[in-house]
Amino acid sequence: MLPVPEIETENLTKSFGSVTALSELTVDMPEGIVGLVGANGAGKSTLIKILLGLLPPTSGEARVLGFDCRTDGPSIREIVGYSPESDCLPRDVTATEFMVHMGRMSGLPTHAARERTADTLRHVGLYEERYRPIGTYSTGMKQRVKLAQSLLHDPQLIFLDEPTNGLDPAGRDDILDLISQIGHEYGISIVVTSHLLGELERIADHVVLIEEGVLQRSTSTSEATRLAGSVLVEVTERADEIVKALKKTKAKVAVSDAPDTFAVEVADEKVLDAIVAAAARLEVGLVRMQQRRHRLTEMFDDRDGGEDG
Amino acid sequence: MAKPDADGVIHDIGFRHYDGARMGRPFVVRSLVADTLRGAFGIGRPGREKVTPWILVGCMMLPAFVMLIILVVGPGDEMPVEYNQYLIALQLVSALFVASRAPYALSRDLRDGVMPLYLSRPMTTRDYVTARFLGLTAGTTIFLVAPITLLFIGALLSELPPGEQITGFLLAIVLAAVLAVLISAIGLAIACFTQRRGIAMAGIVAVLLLTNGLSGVFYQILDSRGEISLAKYAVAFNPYGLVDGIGASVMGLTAGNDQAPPTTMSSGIIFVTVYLLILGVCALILGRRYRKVAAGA
Repeated sequence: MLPVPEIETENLTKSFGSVTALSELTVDMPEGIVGLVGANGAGKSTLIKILLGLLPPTSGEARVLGFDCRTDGPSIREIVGYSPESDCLPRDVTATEFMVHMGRMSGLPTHAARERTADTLRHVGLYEERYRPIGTYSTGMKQRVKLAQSLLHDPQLIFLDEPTNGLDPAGRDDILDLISQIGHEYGISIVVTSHLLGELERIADHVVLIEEGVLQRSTSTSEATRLAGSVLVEVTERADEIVKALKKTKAKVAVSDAPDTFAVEVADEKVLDAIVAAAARLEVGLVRMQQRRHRLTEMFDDRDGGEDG
Repeated sequence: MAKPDADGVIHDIGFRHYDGARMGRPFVVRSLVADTLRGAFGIGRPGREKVTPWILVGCMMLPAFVMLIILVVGPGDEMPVEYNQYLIALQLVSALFVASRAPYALSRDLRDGVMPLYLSRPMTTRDYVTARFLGLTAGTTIFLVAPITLLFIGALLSELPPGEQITGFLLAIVLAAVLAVLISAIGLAIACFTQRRGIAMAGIVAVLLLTNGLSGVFYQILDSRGEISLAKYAVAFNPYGLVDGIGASVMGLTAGNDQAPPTTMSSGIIFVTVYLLILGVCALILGRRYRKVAAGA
């Protein structure tokens, strides 16, 4: 089954005076976790504001969960969550008070807002600290509160703008794990932005790359990495003969430095069968066949290299 | 699978989805009004946010309380001050209240960058500003009405003619609301420009109180030129004088100002027009400012 597009844009353009923030952007984003990647100023935040119905596009169309972003802003914002890139938390109230207030601001009745506040803070790992003023929190804890407030009203989709900003590597991994959990286990779709492709490839199901407001690429990560992947094969002996046999089937094989080890590019499933068959025919033992996913970063590097050359 | 057991072990029950009611925009705005009102008195806020409003509440109530005691215990059979005059006489206190609470209602959200969170909720920028205004106005009205209620209780206890007292009290409540709308609007229109509460506070005090001096100067100048009838309009240059003028000319109350405003029909129209003009300017300022905030949010 094809993934249902939760977000669709068509020729979406946004100009601020002479500056074009988004140019003719046509893209579908499916459910699951979508990584929106681009350098600072690439137009990611502008796109999110348009999708939230906060900023009217100069031209083109945008739809979120079936709602028109031009006209249905409040309806979209009722079932969508948002965590901005900037600091956005009041310092002098406790996380609990802040969350209950924000829950009501999303239209939750007070008792529901209270109940869900405790639940949500537990999910993001802030249950113990929930009665402390937010001003006393570390950056990592604040990022968790920002995440929690976007999640509180059980939205169908959340926009997270640079949620790993200002975090050390460990804190970054924690937040990414949490986002992955929300997207994959809680069944809430997520659009998460980053200027670092590398950190999103681990959690995103789909990656949209924009540069200076122009769409560069929109790919499903599993598709992209599976098809472009390779397997590392280690056999007990006679590796060179197997390599020869595989080359006859037009498989791309690269010899590795390690003895009796080589890598085969996996164009389709048949290549894997061919490896097993060759090993069986020559009666050598297969020590391992390890899938080596291409990292998305390499993929995009290739593309850049190709364009330059 | 987690199953209920008697050991009291906490199981992670996973993320619970919400299928209850979503209340929509009117509820959201009402909740924000309530939040602003609570914030005006520091309710649900840390201790230091309660200090200023409650000291001011004390200052506002104390004279009324003393008058109540005099009314009940003393020999007097007359109100020491009219209800509406009390509001004008204690303008310093209510001006300080607005100067401290208007920045709390707006500057905090600007300083801490909370606006994007509000705007990503099912409401508009206009809803936000309107809710903050209504909440602060409600708080200021309560702040103004509380002491005159004390006076009213004193009047009833000392068995002054109730009919007269009720009329005076009810009219003063209306005037308190009229005053609260004006000083709250001015307070917010100044507070929206700065994230620094101290600066906002100074600005609001300046506009609410120092304009009183301006009125005095205009009065003196016009008076010295023999323009007595024109000089009486000088009160319109400060918010308290203006509202006092509306009380005197539209509602037939005894003015609280030394320089008594004119009480004719036409003067009432002039005062009300100036009043509405100021509100319009405040709305315009807030609208423009928050369009910018929304664009940057």
